[in-house]
This record gives sequence, C-alpha cells and structure tokens, in this order.
Amino acid sequence: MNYLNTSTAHAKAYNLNAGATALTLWTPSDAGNDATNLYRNKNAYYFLPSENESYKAAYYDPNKAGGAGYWLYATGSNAIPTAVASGTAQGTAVYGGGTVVAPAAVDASGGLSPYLTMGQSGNVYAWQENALDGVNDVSSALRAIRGGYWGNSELVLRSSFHSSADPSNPNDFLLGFRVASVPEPSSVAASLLGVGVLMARRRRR
Amino acid sequence: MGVSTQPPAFRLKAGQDYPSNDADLRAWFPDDAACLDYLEWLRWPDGFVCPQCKMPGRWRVADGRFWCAGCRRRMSVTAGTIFHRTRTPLTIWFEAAWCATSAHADTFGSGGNTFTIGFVPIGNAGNANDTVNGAGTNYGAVPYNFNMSTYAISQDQLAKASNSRGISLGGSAWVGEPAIGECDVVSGGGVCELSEHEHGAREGV
Repeated sequence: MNYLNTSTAHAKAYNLNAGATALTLWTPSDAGNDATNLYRNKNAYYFLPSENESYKAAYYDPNKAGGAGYWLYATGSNAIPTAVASGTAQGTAVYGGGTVVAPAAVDASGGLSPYLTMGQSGNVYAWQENALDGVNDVSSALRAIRGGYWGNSELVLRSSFHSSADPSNPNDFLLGFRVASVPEPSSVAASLLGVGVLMARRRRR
Repeated sequence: MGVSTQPPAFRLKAGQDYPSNDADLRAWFPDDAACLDYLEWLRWPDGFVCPQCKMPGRWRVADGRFWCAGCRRRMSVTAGTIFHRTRTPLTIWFEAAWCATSAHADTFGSGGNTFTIGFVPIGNAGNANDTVNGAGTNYGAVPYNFNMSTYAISQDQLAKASNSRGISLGGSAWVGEPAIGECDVVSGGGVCELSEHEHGAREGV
C-alpha cells in the first residue's frame, strides 16, 4: 500500500519498517498523525479500507426503495446470492464450496454492489484496516476480515458477519484485500458529468 | 459572450450536487428537461444573468429556452456549449459524460511492471450506520467521500508492485487471480485444505 502512495508522490499510509512483522503506530510527532486512527496516516492517498468503508461500499444503497439503506449481501439484495464458481451475473457470488474449490479471477467474482464493486460477498475474504475491536491502538491486534471466501456458506457472506485474522501471518490463503483512495477536488469536478469542462472548452474557441 | 461562474469544485458534494452513482444519474436526469435544469444551475449557480445585457430576470418559455427580462432576447442554456442545437438527447450526452468521468483507473509502475487499479466513487458522505443488519456493532457510516477499488487486488498487480520495489514474490503470478497468501496444505486433488482451526474461524464458530 505504501508503494502506491510513495510512487505517486503521496505520504505513505502505514508506518512499516523493513523486516518488522507489525506496523508501528503513528505518533503525535508524525506529520499526518490521526489520533482517532493510529494505523493510517491521514496524508496518505491510498489505504486499506476500514470496516466502515468496506461495509458502505458493499452493502449501502442510496437509492434503495423506501429510502437509502443497507442490503444483507453485496449484490444489492437481501436474497441469497446464487452460488457460482465464477462469472459476473447480477445476484451471484463465488461461495458454497463443493465444486467451488478455488477463488475466481477478481473480475469474474460475482455480481456488483450498488456502488459497482465486485466480489465483496464471497471469493476471498478482505482484510480490513481496523482491529476487530475497532480501536486501532495496538499494532499487533487481530484485524477484522469480511465477505467470506469461496468455500463458505451464505451466512458468512452477510453484512452481519465478520471475523478476524492475525496480521503477522502473511500466508493466509483465504484473504485478499482492496484499495481505497481519497477523491481529489479535480475528480469531483470531473464527476460533474464533465459538463462544466465541456462548456468551458466550447467558450474558449 | 459573458463567462458564467462555475460552481467551485471544492464545494460540491456527491449525491447532493452531482450524482454519486449510476442509479443517481438515472433518477436525477430522466429526461431532457431535468438535464436543462441542471445545466442552468451549473451555468448560473447564483441565478440567471443575461450574457448580453447582464440583467438578472428571465422567463422560461415553452420550448425550454429563456426570455431575458432586460433585453427581451431569447436564449438557451445550451448556447455557447457543445450541446447547442444538438439533435442527440441531453440524457444521452449526460450518460456518455458520466461514463467518461465517474469510474477511473490509476496507473502505477513503469515498463513491464506497469499496472492499473480501477476505482469507483463511493459518495453520499454522512450516511448513517446500518442499524438493521449489523450484529451487535453497527457499521457503514462514513462522513466523507472516497474511492474503492472495483475488484480485490490481483496477484499480477501485487507482483508488479513488488517488482517495482525490487522485491520478488517468487512463484507464478496468475493474471486476475486475487492476491492471497500461499496454501500450506494441498490435498491429493490439488485443492487447498483448511486446518480445523482455520475452518472454524472462517465459519464463525
């Protein structure tokens, strides 16, 4: 994660020292220290998503019928996803074991969430940035994991389930991860449908 | 032609000032009239000002254009933009612009180790926690906008990032397969097996 930041001229997210098995907490004397989250440097651009961030991306639907709210699965639905070995059909997820004996490719890991992320239910668990207790003040604390893996039952895919894993074990073959980033003002402007930009271009002609 | 004031990008909020996802886009801009309303706000965020006489008052006429209360000129909100006299419905323009600007990919590395990570915007800052599906602790509230990688990070992305840092992960990096730890125990059928502990932990027992 730090490489993504430092290679693009941003502050590194995590205080990692070569050879260490755990990160070092940021301290008040460090630039970018955030007293509410001693794991993540607030000047970083790329970071491991926290459980709240992952949860929102997976389950929140601002356009849910009856008002914004959350779904039980990261497929934009409370219906149990159809188990598949791989694919992109809506309402499907890679889970269930049986003939599903390995993770699918990340771009074929089931249907999309309302925010258009893929594979947040099933395929591989996702490491969360935060400790299981939500207090990021012990570097070696067990970290939360979410989403379930290809061999789980649908119960583990639910928003109501999370578990933990030891961050000092890099060889947990059920765990993957995602990357989150902060939107720059320029990307916000771009999200403005590009219309303002298009208008400005026209006016300069 | 006078140059209108664009809404400063840093003041804009996803889900409030511009759509935060595809569903928002469809809900906000169901027809050309809705698109024209939005363009009017973009162009004159502080209210209409005639580009010719600089007077603020105007009437809207039946064809969607304006009648300046000062100089009595008829004008269109699209005048001077690439939308002027377009025969293509504005809804199509908006959708095309949205597709070009919402999701994006960031590029890292160089040469043979170049890779991209695709992101989708997670808007609707300030959403509340999930108080329905959460088991015990509630999650999901995020007071800011951010981006989430569309997919879990893949083995080849991780390998290229590591190569860029001069670190070889060893083994084969399968394109598209999620970046996960190595399997400790492989069965005769080539399937990675869970220890009892791992299985129990991952099923939440």
